[in-house]
Amino acid sequence: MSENRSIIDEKELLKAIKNSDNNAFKELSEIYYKQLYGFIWRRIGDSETVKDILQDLFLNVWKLRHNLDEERPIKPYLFAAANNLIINYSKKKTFLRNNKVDLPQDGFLSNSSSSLEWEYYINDALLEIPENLKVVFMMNKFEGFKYAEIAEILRISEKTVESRMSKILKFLRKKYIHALKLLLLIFQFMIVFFAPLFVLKK
Amino acid sequence: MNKKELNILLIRKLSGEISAKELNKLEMWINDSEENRQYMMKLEKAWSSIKAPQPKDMPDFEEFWQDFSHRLKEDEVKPAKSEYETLIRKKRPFSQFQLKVFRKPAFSYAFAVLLLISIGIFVLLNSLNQNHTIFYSTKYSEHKSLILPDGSTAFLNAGSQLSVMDFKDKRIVYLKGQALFNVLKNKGEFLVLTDNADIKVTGTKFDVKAREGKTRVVVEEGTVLLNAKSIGNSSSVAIHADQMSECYKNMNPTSPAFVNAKYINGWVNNSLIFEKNTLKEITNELQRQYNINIKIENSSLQNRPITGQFTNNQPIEDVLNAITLSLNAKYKKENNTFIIYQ
Repeated sequence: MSENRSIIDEKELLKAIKNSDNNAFKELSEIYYKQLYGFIWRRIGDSETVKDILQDLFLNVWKLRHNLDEERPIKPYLFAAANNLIINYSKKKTFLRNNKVDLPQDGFLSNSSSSLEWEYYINDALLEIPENLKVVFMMNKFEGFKYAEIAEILRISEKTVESRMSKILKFLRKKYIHALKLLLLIFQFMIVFFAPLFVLKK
Repeated sequence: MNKKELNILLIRKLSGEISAKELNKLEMWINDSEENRQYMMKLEKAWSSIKAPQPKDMPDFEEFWQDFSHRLKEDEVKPAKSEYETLIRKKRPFSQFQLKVFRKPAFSYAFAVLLLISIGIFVLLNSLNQNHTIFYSTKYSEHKSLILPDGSTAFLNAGSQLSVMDFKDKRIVYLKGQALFNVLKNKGEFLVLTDNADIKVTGTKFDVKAREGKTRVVVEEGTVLLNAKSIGNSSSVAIHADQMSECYKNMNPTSPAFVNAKYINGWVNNSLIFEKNTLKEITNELQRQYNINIKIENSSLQNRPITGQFTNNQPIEDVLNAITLSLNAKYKKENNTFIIYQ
C-alpha cells in the first residue's frame, strides 16, 4: 500500500520537475540523496569527490529535466547516471597515474592512492573481491537492487549479473574461515592474558 | 543438480532473488544431509555479517543543497563562455531591434534602403581590411604547410582544421586537430583556441594537439601559457621549452612535464612517434595518417601503452606487424578493415 503511494507521489514529482518546479526537484533529490551518496562513496571513497560527482549528477538531471519520463521509475536512471560519472572519474584518474603526470598538490586528485578510505578500517573478505564482482555484489547487498535492475543500470546482461553473483560464494566461504580464525585468535589471546591472573589468585 | 546450478541457487537464496519453485529445489538439497544444512547456515551467517561501510562525514542534505543551488544558479546565469564564443557574439546584429522598427510601415522602406547601404559599406570595409575568417583543413593522410597573414607558419597534421579568425589587432586562430606553430615575435599576442583550452603565446615554436576532448601542448622554443576553459584565468600554466602539459574540459591543465619536444614534433618530417600512448590513441592516429579503418577486438588491449617510431611512408602492414608483435597480438584484414585481436 505505502509502496504504491510513493510510486504515485514520484510520478507527480517528476511531472512537476518537468515543469521546472525547483521545490519538487529538491524533494526528489532528498529522497535519493543518502542512498546515492553511499553508493558513490563506497566506490570512490574520497568525500570531496563524492560531493562533486553528486553535484554533477543532479545538475545533469536538472538540465535534462524536459526529457524525464514519469512513467518509468527514476531510481535506476539516477544510479546509472551515477555509475557513468564514477567510471568517467576513475578513467581520468588512472590516465593521470599511468602517464606519470605530476598531480597538483592541492587538487582533489592528490588523494590518488588506489585503496578507498573505508578499506582501511574494514578488514574483510569483501576487499578480496575483484572490482567488477564487487560492484554487482554491493548493488545487491547494500543498495537492494534486483538482478534485472543491476543489469539495466550497468548495461550488462542479466546472465552476467547471475554469473558474477555466483562467484561471490567463493569469497563468502573464505569469509567464514576468516571469522573462525579470528575467533580462535581471540580465544588464544584470552588464555595468554587471563591464565596468569588465575595463577596469581591461587 | 550439478555444482554450478547449486551455486546459482545458493546465491539466489542469499540475495533474495529466488523463486518459489527454485526454493523448493534448494530445500530438497538442504534436507539431503546434515552437512548441507550446516553449509547453508554458514553461508547465511557470512552473508548477513557483511555490513555496508557507512560514509563518515556525509554532509546533511540541507547543507549539500545549499552548495548545489549555488552551483545551479551560477550555471544558469552565466554558462561557461569561452573567448571564442564571446568573439562571435560581438558580431551578431541586433535582430530584435530591427524587427520592432520594421513593424511601422512608414519606416520600413527607409530602413530597407538604409540597411542595403550599410551592408554595402560593411562588405566594402571588410574586403578592404581583409579581416575575414580563412579556413584551412586537411583530409586523412594529408599534411599542409601554411603561412598565416602575419608571416607565422603552421604545419597542419592529417584530419585537422584551422580557422584564422582575426589578425588585425590580435592574432587568433581556432584549431581542431594537431598543428605545429612557429610564431613570429614582436607582433603582439598570438592566441590558439581549442574546444577546451586557450593557449597564449608571444613568439615561439610549439605543437598543439586538440583531439577527443583533450588538448596537449608541447613547446619547442620560448614560453606558452595554457589556460583551461570555463575555470578562469587563475588556472593557467606556463610551459617552457621541452615541456608539455595536457588539459581536459573543466579540469586544470596538468603541471608541465619534461619531454623531448623535437622528438614528439617529429610528425612534421613524416614520422609517427608514440611514447607510452595507448593502443586506442595509436589506432586513431594511424586511421588519420593512412586513411584506413582499424578495429580493436579485445577491449582489454585498448589501454595498453606502446612506445615506438615509424615513418609515414612505411607500409601500414609493417607498422601493424610491429605493434601487434609488441602486444603479443595478431591482426587480420577483412573488407578494408584491419582487426587487431588476441
